[in-house]
Amino acid sequence: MNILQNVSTPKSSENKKHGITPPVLLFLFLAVLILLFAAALCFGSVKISPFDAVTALLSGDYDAPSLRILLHIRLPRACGAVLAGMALAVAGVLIQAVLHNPMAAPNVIGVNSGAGLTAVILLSVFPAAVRFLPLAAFFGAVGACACIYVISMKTGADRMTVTLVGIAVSAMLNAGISAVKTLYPDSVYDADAFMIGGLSGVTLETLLFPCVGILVGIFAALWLARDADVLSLGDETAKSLGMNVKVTQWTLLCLASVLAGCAVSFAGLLGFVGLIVPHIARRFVGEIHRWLIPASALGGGILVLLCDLIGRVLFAPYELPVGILLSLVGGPFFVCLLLARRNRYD
Amino acid sequence: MIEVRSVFFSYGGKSVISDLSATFRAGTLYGIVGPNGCGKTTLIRLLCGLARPTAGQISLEGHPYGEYDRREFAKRVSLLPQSRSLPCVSVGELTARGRYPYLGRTRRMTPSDRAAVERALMDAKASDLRDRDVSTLSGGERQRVCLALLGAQDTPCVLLDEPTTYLDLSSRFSLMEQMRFWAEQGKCVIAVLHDLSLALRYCDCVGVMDQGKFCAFDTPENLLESKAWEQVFSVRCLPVDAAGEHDVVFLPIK
Repeated sequence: MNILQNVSTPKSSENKKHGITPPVLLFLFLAVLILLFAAALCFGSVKISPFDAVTALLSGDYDAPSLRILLHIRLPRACGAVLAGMALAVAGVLIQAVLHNPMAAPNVIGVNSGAGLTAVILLSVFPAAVRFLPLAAFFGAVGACACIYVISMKTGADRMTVTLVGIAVSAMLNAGISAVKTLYPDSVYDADAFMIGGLSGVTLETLLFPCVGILVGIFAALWLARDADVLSLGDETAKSLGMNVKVTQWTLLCLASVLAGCAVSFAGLLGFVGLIVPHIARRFVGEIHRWLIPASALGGGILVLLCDLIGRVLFAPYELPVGILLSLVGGPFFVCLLLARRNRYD
Repeated sequence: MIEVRSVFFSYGGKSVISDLSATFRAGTLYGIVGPNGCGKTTLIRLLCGLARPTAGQISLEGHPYGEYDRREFAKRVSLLPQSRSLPCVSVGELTARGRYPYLGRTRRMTPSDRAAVERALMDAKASDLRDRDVSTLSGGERQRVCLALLGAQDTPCVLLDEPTTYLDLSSRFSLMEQMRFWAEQGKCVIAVLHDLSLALRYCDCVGVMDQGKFCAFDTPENLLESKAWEQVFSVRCLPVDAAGEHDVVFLPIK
């Protein structure tokens, strides 16, 4: 990209028109997230009014059916949705910053699939080691990340090629998942649900370890926000500003892998959160990572929570896995994005 | 300030810089000119530590480059590369990124960092652009913002790789004025330039490069007498005097 024929994206000039400053936006996002969280606790095949829930909680009647649904089913599920959305969206921001590629996202370049493959192998071949699931998912994610990074850095391939390579890697890894699924048909977990991505089996126990990983990952990403900012000036400028570019890129990719691996370990292969959310957030706050990361985290939480809620309520008592809804929304969005970019270069 | 001692650099078996020596002093504006492919950009990359010489040594303030850690070096030498990707952020935000080498582990901007950003914006005459989005700027404004970014890094040595290319005439002059301003502040400013008359007009010292080394490195006055560019560029130069202003024009040798 040359200074003078630089991408002329109208993004931030648009945001001047809304007149929303980043802190206000974050506050709005947080408010929406809290409202949605409350809604996710109340709505479902059985409606629980907030009033009933609070009364039951205060009366100490923990065996009341409504409270049991609330505490053991809806609470873990809502927490899982928020955590998975946050993790995948922030992972998307980080991967896009490292690869200088707005098309990159954990599901597009195969990071989710890498995590999925190792997770499925662990579940099928070593079902006894299930507590190491997030760890296995992390290593799968790192492997896929490393693969894409090496290809994009060593060959100097352009953005579109890297995206296509990522899609190829992603397809290979998905085939690997299917192969494991076919070879071990008797394993206990629900492989189809895992591939689509869903939150129906989430419990507070399975969330504990990924939750720690995700929160630590997001805080570390916030801490390194200025480094991501400097990376966006290009490798040479980053180097001349005294940054160890390789180390920074690897650190950010590892963080993205921790986040994506943790999310995949309990939510399966949720697609498109990591792609859509950073793009929407960027429209509001621009390429400033100390705003982009929290905005994407909150936005990701909102999106997954909303999709999960709709999936549960729309066809109650049946439910549509959140992954299906996300892809239904994400697919068309990705197409629009590709078309918009092409128009810009023409 | 920067001392280059018999430096060689080869890339893929091809020698790009061969036995180049030069001394760059503080408070001086250096112009480096030369035909395409003579190794100007490579020299700049060597000077700012992006490439390491295959043989020879470059030292800064008496210490070889290898003795500096990345951040310490970035507080002393800054670079304006030929092309740089500019993200969609405001000018003020972009300029602040030049303070990166000064930020501690917490990556927080201190009041002195903010003051340095303000000063850099003012020096580059970009204060009024502060809230504009970088993507909406014209080429000349964009280059001013890049200079503000360099100014925020606030280094005693400033390297610029073809900063005037693609700029219109008045932007070129204001850019050269900015470089003169830095030199007068006591900085060592080294710029690769394509425009010979611009280099002769503004620089204290001009290095003419050919085939990986300086074939002339002298003040504009002495260079004009030595006619070093006749073999290098195959051009002759004619002095122009108009309204008390002296300048030169370059014409092809017939």
